[in-house]
Amino acid sequence: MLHLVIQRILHKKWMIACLIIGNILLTAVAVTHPLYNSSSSQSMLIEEFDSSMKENNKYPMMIHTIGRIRKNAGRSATNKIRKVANGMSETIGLPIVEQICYRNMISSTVTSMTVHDGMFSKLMLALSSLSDLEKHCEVLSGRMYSDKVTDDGFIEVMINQSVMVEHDLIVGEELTIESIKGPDKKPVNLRVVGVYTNSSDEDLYWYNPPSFYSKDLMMDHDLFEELFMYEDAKKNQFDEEFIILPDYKAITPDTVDDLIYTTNDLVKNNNDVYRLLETSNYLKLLEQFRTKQKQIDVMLTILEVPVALMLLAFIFMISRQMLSLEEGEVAMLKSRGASAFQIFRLYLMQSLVVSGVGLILGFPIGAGITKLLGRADAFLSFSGGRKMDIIFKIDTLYFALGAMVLSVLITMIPVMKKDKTSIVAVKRRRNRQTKPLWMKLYLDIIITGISIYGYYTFLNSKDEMIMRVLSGKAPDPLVFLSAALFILGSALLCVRIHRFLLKVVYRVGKKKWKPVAYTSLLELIRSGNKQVFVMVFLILTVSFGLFYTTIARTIVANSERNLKYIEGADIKVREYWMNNSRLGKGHYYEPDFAKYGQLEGADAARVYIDKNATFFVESRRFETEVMGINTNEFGKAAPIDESLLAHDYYDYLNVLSRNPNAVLVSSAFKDRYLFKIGDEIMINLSSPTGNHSVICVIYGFFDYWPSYRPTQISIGNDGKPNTAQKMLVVANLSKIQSTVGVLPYDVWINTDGDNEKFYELAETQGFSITSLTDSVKLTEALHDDPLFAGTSGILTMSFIAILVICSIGYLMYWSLSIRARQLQFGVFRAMGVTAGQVSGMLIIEQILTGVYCIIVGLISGYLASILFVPMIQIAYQGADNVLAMKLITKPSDVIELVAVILAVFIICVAVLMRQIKSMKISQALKLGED
Amino acid sequence: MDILKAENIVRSFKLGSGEKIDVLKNVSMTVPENTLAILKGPSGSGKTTLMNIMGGLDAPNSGTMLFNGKDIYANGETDIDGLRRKDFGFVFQSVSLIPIMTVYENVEFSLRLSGYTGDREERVMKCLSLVGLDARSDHMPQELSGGEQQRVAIARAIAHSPRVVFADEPTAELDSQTAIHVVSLFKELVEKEHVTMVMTTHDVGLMSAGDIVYSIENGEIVSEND
Repeated sequence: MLHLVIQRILHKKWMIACLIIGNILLTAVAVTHPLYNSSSSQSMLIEEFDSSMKENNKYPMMIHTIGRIRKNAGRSATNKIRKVANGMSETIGLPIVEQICYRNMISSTVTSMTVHDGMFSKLMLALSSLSDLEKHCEVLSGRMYSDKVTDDGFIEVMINQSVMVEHDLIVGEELTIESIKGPDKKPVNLRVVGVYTNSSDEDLYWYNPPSFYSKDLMMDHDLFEELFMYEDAKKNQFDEEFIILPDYKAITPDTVDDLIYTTNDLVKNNNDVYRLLETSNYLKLLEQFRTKQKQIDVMLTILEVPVALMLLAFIFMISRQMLSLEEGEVAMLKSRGASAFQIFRLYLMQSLVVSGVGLILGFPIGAGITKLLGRADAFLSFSGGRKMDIIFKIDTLYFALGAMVLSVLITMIPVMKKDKTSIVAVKRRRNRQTKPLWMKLYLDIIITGISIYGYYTFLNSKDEMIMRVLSGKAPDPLVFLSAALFILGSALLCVRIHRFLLKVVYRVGKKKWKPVAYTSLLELIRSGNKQVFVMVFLILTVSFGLFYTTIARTIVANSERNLKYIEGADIKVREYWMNNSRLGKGHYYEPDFAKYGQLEGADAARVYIDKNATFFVESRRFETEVMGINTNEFGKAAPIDESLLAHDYYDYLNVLSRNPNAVLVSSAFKDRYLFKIGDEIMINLSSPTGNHSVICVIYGFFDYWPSYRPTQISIGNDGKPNTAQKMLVVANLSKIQSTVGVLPYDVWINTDGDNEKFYELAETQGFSITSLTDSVKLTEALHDDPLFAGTSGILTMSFIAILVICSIGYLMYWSLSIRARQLQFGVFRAMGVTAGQVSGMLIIEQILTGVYCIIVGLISGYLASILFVPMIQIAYQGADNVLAMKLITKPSDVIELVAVILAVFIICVAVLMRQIKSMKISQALKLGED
Repeated sequence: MDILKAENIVRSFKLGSGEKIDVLKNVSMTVPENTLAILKGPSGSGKTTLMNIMGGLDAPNSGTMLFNGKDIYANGETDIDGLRRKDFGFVFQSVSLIPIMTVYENVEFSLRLSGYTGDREERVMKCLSLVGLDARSDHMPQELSGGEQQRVAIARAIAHSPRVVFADEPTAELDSQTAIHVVSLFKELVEKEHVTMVMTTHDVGLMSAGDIVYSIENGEIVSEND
């Protein structure tokens, strides 16, 4: 049996090769999904923590336990939580990178034995100890404490700089605490022997920096236990805290759920008067990760389904084609007594072998594609920096097997349909023409109708979609389904229209058509069914291709555009502003702004932002943000897309510069508060020393301004999205500074995308920076975002897969169709039709079908883009979508797409012409007779 | 006058194994104008090959094939295509109608090809009525019986008024009654349409209809009876 199957496979090698390619692609597409999911999840998870660490400048995963001993109570609770802390690694299943035990006596009155200013000073301080402090600190002056009580009865302590400064303590000072009793029941005497600081900034031990311990007199950790934690130390009240830093890099996507559960459990079970367990907000990070993972999962599914379906359709088409070639053979086997089951088994074996090969080869290809996906940074571009380690999981195998089962099923459908084949039936069927089922049922019109209904439904529920995204839910798959249905429906509809058009053309010139055109038209009209499949395929390829490139380009480009707009400039930097008062109420020393002039080819602007300003309308106060700019600097440093403004950008700036009291205000001032140009407006500016009112004159209104969000959508406590209108007043910086003084401002720099020169300057000049936003880096991060990268990658992969199968399918169809029409061509040639004319017929047929398909494919792809891409965009951006979406189709993508298809056409024509040229008429006629 | 004249025709084929088979060995023969010539012989004798060479479908390895005194293979494909379009008509063993065209369109197509300048419809209907199928002009070929299809093929072969009609085993797939009808139709066409007919057959019963009969065996003409 297997021998027979292999023989058959070798015999039909081209068909089988096509089937195998289809199966390989199907497996690859199927396994890419779980592979990308598992592989991107790991890095995404870690990135979630890393970026939180960068943002907050704190290790992102911390578990903090406190056990409290009050008089004689709480001892068992403290023991319990100490156990919990020490068993943490096992409980949460992660290694612990750092665990610090911090014991501290409740702050008590400490009396200094040293006379300060003629009296013994009393200070509020705590006696504490940190485990392993001696290994992590640097002694700035004095020495390390001893781990024993000194012979003269003193406990040695160390202090940090802030304790030293705040409490005016010095090394050598002796202190006594009345309320704390040692084992000898006497008040403890302390001696400050040294000042410590952290030995390294990177040391995780200093999760809480030394300044955190600003009331602590640190003594030896073991000595603390020995002296104060003995069983019947009834009077001592202290807390024992553990700061536990688990290794977040060891979290795997699979353990996230467990970790969330365990953490919640720990918090719940360790919370009473005497013990407390709390965590840094890593649960939120984990939840965020889970949301994102789900988003990616849904996204991948949605994007892959159409291509998977097309692959299945391709496999179906090829196997049906193959079966129809084998009809005679099957009928012969039957007439010789092969049972239906035997034939069924033969085909089943064949399809198992083919899909098995597809499975084996598709797996590594899928892994390769997944690696590529990780590097995708835009459509058809794989130059991203993200490296992906492929993680195989058992679900990958399920997906692959699922694909294989589907492929076998789809291959067997035509076999089962042909089950009743007999020689007579074959001969009879050969020439029968019936309309395809979908045409009879008007499925094309129904499908298109459904998709348009879907479109209107979504159009009316845009807010709901935004809310879904904001609340972390995956986008509604139905949006994508509608888009896919639209493309499918319109492809079918176009095939129906094609037939109608051909009939019209044929009728118009019925009498006059030259033999070549006449035959081509007749062929297409009368045997159109054979072409339906390949035509639908071709239209789908072109329109999905166009749709996919548009989605990929649009979501990335629009997100980038939005980001650029919201950030306002390539770099926004705030330097350290010295203030001569500790509370910031004194005078600020302005860092030198002129140095930015050294940035070659870059423009810098001073931008003062007051977020707490107000304005008055009929003595009622409303909030607004005020931006103070120097128009000349700002115009160069903060460019804006001119299409967003009603007038020329520079006109706005020029108008503003005309009068120091002039302001430009957002349109909401006009729409909500009925201000007009020329109106005076009283603005109250905030400053550390109090508020200052200033009266300005409105010189203009704008809808958009660099970094200005007209509305902000957020989810309210009721779970409904709130849209808040944001107000912005743009004023002259000089006016603001003359009103409130020179207060810290940001410097906005337009570097033309080359931010390195800024960093070089900052490095050489030794900038002291308090905040920095680098929109070039943010843009890069956007490209590397697993959701974006995955989308671009999947779309590219789908596009290429569709292109491959379409090319193969098209070539296949034509070379098979010419074989099937061998006799007909032979008859034509015998009747005196030249070889050139026969080629002409085929070329006209190709043009009438192929070119038509390309054109309608482009039209339907474009329509689908216009209708559905804006909704898909929402899924990627949600509330960050400030600017109206621009549909972006890169012409070069379309050209590439059409060029590939045309190349296939040309290859096709070349192959056909060769076949026809080399055709022996007498042989063709002979072949046809069989 | 001999409208067709074969001189020393040799045709051999190479098999896949490299072995050479001589299908026609130095055949010479003539077909006078306005006659029904029959090539008879067992299958594999080379009669179809000979007819293909006469009809410009297959070039000989050597020898000359004259039509109207001119070597039809002397000037290459284009001339032969033209000959087949205008001067020759063909009827094949199996049904050779174009499946996408109706009976009418099949016949009309040869008129389109030959650039027929007269009233095409009239001519088509005349040819169809000659073969007795004018009532079925709107049918698709597959809706006709084998004999009917063959008669349409004959109508198509004569529609453009060729000088010679070649028929390769036109009766092979027909029952004897229909076969006799077809051959008598040929005789009628020779008279009414003034064409020359060349027909191959292995059916001994049909030989008597021929004005001239060549017997071919093993690639050689073994007898010729007028």
